[in-house]
Amino acid sequence: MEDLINFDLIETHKENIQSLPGGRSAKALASTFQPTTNRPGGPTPGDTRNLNDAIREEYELEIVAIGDSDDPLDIYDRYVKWTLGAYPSAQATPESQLRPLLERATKAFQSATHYRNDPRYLKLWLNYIRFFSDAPRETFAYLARHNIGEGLALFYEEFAAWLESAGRWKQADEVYRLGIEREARPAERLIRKFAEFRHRFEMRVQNGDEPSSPALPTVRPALVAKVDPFAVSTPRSADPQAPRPTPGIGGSTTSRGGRQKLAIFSDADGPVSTTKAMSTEGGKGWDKIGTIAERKKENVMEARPWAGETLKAGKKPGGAPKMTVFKDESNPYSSNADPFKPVKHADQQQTVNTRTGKIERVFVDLEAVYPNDNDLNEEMSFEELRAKSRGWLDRDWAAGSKQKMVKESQSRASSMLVMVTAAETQADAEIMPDVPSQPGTKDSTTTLLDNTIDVDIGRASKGGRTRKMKIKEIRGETQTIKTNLESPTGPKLRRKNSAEPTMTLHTKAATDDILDIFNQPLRNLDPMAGPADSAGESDYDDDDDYTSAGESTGTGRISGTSEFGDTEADLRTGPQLEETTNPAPSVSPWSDFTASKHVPKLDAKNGEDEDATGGTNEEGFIVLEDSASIQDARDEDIDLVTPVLPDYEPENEPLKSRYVPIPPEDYEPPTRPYRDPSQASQNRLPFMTPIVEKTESSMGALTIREEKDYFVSKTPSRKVNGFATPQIDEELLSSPFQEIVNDAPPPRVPKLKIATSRAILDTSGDPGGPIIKDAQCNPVDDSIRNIILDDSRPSLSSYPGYYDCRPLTYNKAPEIRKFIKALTNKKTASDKTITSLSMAPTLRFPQIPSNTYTIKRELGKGAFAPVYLAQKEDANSDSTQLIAMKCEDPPTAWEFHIMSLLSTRLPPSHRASPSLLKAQALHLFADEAYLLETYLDQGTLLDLVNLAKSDSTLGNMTGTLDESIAMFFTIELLRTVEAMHSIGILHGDLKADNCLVRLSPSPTNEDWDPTYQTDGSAGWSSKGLCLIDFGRGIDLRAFRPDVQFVADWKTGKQDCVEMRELRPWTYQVDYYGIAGVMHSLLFGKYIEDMAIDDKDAVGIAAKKKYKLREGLKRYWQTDIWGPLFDLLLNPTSHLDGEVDGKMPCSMGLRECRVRMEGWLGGEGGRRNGGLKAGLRRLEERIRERRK
Amino acid sequence: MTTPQYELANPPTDAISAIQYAPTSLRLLVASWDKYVYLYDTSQSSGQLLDKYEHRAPVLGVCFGENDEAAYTAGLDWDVRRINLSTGAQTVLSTHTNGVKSVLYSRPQNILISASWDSTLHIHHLSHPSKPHVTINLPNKPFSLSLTPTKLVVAMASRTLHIYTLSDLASDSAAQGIEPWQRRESSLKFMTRAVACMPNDAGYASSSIEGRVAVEWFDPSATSQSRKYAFKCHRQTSPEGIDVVYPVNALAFHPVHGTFASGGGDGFVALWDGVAKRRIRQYQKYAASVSALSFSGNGRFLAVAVSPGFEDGKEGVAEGMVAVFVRELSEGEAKGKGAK
Repeated sequence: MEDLINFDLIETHKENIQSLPGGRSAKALASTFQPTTNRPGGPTPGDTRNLNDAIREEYELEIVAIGDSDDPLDIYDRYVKWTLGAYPSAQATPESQLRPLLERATKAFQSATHYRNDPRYLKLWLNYIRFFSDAPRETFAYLARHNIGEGLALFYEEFAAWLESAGRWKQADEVYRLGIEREARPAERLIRKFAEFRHRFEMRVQNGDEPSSPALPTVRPALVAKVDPFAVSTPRSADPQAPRPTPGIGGSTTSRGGRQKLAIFSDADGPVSTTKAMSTEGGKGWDKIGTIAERKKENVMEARPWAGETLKAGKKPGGAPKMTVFKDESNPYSSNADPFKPVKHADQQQTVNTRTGKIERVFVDLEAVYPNDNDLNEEMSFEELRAKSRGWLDRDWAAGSKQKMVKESQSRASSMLVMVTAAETQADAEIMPDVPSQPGTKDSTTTLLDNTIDVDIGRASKGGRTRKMKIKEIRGETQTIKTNLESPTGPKLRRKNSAEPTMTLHTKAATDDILDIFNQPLRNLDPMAGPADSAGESDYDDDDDYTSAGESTGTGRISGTSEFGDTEADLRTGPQLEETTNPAPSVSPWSDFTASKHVPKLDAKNGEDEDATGGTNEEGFIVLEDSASIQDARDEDIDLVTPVLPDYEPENEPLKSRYVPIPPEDYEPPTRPYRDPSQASQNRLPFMTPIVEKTESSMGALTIREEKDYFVSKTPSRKVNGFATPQIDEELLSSPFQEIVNDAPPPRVPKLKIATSRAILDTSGDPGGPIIKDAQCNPVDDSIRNIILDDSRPSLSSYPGYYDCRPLTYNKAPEIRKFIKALTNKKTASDKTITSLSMAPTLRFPQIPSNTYTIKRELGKGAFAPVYLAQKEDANSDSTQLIAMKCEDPPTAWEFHIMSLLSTRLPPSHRASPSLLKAQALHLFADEAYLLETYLDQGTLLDLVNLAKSDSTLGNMTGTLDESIAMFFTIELLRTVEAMHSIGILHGDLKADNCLVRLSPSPTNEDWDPTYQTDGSAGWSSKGLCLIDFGRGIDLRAFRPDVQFVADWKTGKQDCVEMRELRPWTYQVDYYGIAGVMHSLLFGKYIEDMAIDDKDAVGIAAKKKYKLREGLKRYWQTDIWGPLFDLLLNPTSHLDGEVDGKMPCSMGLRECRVRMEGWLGGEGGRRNGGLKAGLRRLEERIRERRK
Repeated sequence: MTTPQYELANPPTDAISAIQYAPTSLRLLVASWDKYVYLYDTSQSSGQLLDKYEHRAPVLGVCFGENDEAAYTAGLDWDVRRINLSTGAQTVLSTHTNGVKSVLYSRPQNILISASWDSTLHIHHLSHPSKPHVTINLPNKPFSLSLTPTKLVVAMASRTLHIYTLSDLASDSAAQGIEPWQRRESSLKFMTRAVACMPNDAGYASSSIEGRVAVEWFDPSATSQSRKYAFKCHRQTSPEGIDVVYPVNALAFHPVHGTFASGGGDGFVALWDGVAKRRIRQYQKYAASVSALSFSGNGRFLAVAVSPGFEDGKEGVAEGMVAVFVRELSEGEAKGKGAK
């Protein structure tokens, strides 16, 4: 009888039993629910609890000893199983402690690689996801990122099942395919399930609105290498709304190809190194998913004792004003944290409160209080200042007083004052020790020389380290060039040091040493060893040098001619000199690096070298040895030349390609999907060219060296190169040949340039390809913009009106701001004082000194920059002209870029052309930028709307614009935006205040036909609007065709719904903007939308539709406005009629526009006295208001 | 709204550097740049100048000693002096190697602490006059001192702040190696101007030259530290619409209610409830910068020293600009409203 299970018992409790996929033991359940009455002497509920507690205790004990366990997972596995059994509704009752247990269990083995593909572990995760996870997709993605369950079919099945249940069919499909691709086991079951899925997939109702993002988000590669402000602070949470897919490798353009997007997980093809780096780094960025409690910690209130707490009851009568707790936004420690960027307190004498915009002036004389700009710790209290000004501070009381006083403390006070300056000079000395070290330079180079020679003996290869060092040398080189251009005569010239004296400084003994080491006679060289051969090869060879040694002139060394250490050292002296003479830029930033990378072995080597070179040299070098910076340079140098292994090259190749624009002979243009920032930075270094020339030439001349057999054996890689190894004769160095060598014109430089640029551009194969390969990105991101600006074709500088004065700072903005401020204040105070205004600031730009711009007033504050009205005076032509000047701080050329694109891509004859503001010029400075634009004086649509509110003659009874006028502007707007979209440019910030009214008088006013003419004839083309503020403009051609944008700024009502819901967007931004403008025109209010549920759709991915909150007026042309709003708010559901079924919805919009034009040309244009009359009234009002 | 306040007759002739009420009586010491220390009796209206004591140099700090008859002064003549107020006899206790900024007497330990711009503190054990003073080296110049019954807060240049326990300072064993109990950095970005301790020994307020006051707690626990805050004050809008930010020169805690007063370069004195984070009231503007504040021992009076500061680097001590006001606080005037 005992064995029979009383199912009635279970039946009555079944709502309390959590179903498990594997089923439950009826017996266990029965025993759990056995009422005590039936089992006298059996466990009461309390007993059960005690019993469970006891068992739990056992498990906990086991977990404590988990370190000793062979299979720690087993313990958790059993523990979880027991919990599930013992607590039939485990996930609902906190006493089961299932959630913390699962969290613990899953966390415990997160990094255990051997459990990654253990089904038991995966099941723990799945239990967790099933019962508790608040964001299952995120958790799945997390598992994928950590390769948990990677080889288990179960993972893919569960993930796909979840996606399917959420209506994400395509993603589910993707996941299945991925699983099959990875041969997850059991493969058969997976394939079977996939087949079942495919079946369901085909049967399902087509739903166009499911997320097209890949199932498994990955880190965007472009951001991996960059400083991503978000990545640093927070672990990248994979927002299900805004996943970051990997770029399609190989420039794939398939929009929804799941396989492409997931290709990141298979490292079979593509740029291996980057992918790898990315995936590992990606993992690092998301190393824990956090417990539920942690993820919701913001919802939990911290427990506090009740003592002293008061219950709030009603509102007390407000008394004194609440003290605002100040929260210092700027880090108070920043001034100390970053010694390189001291915040000059004196600069903060007057600041602008970022929140209120008010100018705050510190009453205290900060310069007096902080007398030393370099050392903020130097502070003078008011008492000290007063004492100082009265002369008390310098008074030495110790001297005068009878009391015993230490004599050495004489005038402590004054010394303190002196200290400031002393410290300053000292600081100077530290930063720029070049002055004292100058005399020793000559010696220093020679020491270096000797060291390098000896090191070179064993050297045959360069590690990654040398390659990095190269970057340092680039800096130094800027000036090396200059040095080399100096006349080689004159004993004090450094040039001389670098070249001729090399040999003279060598003692015979040292030379002999070297010769001994090389064990090779030096002069049996055949100059005819094969010049033709080497001529061809040397290019590559040099490239090779270039790559490994960087731009240093030390290329000779790298070419493998190590026997002739002198040459090499000599060649290298250029950069070295730089290091010593100008250590601030070159040594200091890198010395850390050297120190950390410096192998102790090298130090030893260094020491030996010095010994080997003999005392003669050493004696002469005492002067320079004092200088720490030179020491640094030496270290670096040795590091640079470090002999590591005689055989190198193949395994170093990939490394090399990371740093170097041109890999060696087996060079293939890298098919990298994005622009390597490290490359980008190098490409911009124009000054490396001369150095390269030099090296190149010397190589060219010297390649005529015969090859040493032993040498080849030493560096086998050279063999592959052929016999191009240039050998440099020691003798050459001291011979007049040196000069010739230096002067020889090199063919290599231009080639290099081409190659580098191709390396970047070739990725797509066609020059018009997208610059940004990311499938999803933030288009206003500065880094992305900079890449686009750098790579734009035609380049920015080719546009007329582009003046880049970047190294210069202009710093006029504060003055202008002050003036504007004063202007507004005066205006409000009284008009009579206007004469006392300070002089209006006048700008004059360096490139066009004849033009002066006098600021008149502020026109408006754009989203990013204020716009001023300025009067342009041309001294040459005596003409004056009003222009709009946008003052951008921080400076950016972006808006100018977009405006230039618009004017180049759109023919001037285009109907929409007058509706786009033209940029006249951009003056770009390091601190601010001035964009000069055409000035239109009729105000914005927003002004118009407000005008209508106040002026009943304009609008109708409700204080809004007449419908026909609203429609007129809508048509204009639609046409303009359509034109922009057709040339691949998004405005990005459409709103009523970015649309200027353009009701210019038609050329011949009489010709203005009262009947609306669609084609702009009969004077209508001069009426319309003009879009401004392209600061958020997006050039779609810089992106791949299927790009999706994400916005990371704080969104508001004016932003399109996709942005607000963190969904990717493209054209939606403008469509919503148009809708917003239309709404403002019609209702006189900002747009408000609301979501309506689509009845047909089901599930999470059910499509949301949006409509206006406000209903259209009955007497309006609702059959025109309605569909237009619907289209603009829900563009994705109107793609049927569009080209390829994709955005832009030009067809739909055009259709709407044509209907509007039809109405306006007919009935609508005649209402209320006609459209022409309405517009004319408007024009007059605007003119009146301006007066 | 205006409460009775009167100006002391016979004010100092030059800028006032320090002011202190006697702990028990209504005597008031005022130190001035005119090299004199003034002793007033404020028990009767308009006050009475009892005596003044000449020094070699401007006096920067003054405090009452163990009783109403003893005072200690610190001045630019590098000396720390004791003055017998009834006889006027002066004795030099110690000599620093630079101007002495402030001097404080701690009754429980019977020690005197002086702080000098030579970056040292001198601790004088008054119960053992023969014992030499103890010198404590500071990392920076001290600008302001404040005491609680158990702790000493030293605000220094470079926004450093040390908190010493007085028992450490008073102990005989610790001669040179006295370590601060806590080393802190000011929560304010600019130079610390004044510091004042809460009478309940829980924390202190510090002010900076840039119109801010920070309130912090001694307790190093995270919960206590999270309570600390800072707020802006003593800012006035100039006619040009610019917010002028004045230094907060003086801070003083009310001995009974635990609220505190701040005096700024703008000539305003404000009373704050540091617990409720509210301003209780702000008094009428004074003619010049408020340079020092002191509550009387019973908390009924607030002495306000008004004299042109040196904030803007300009000397401008005109006749009649220097004054000491004594404000009688009505019942509960300085009492906080309680947390809301």
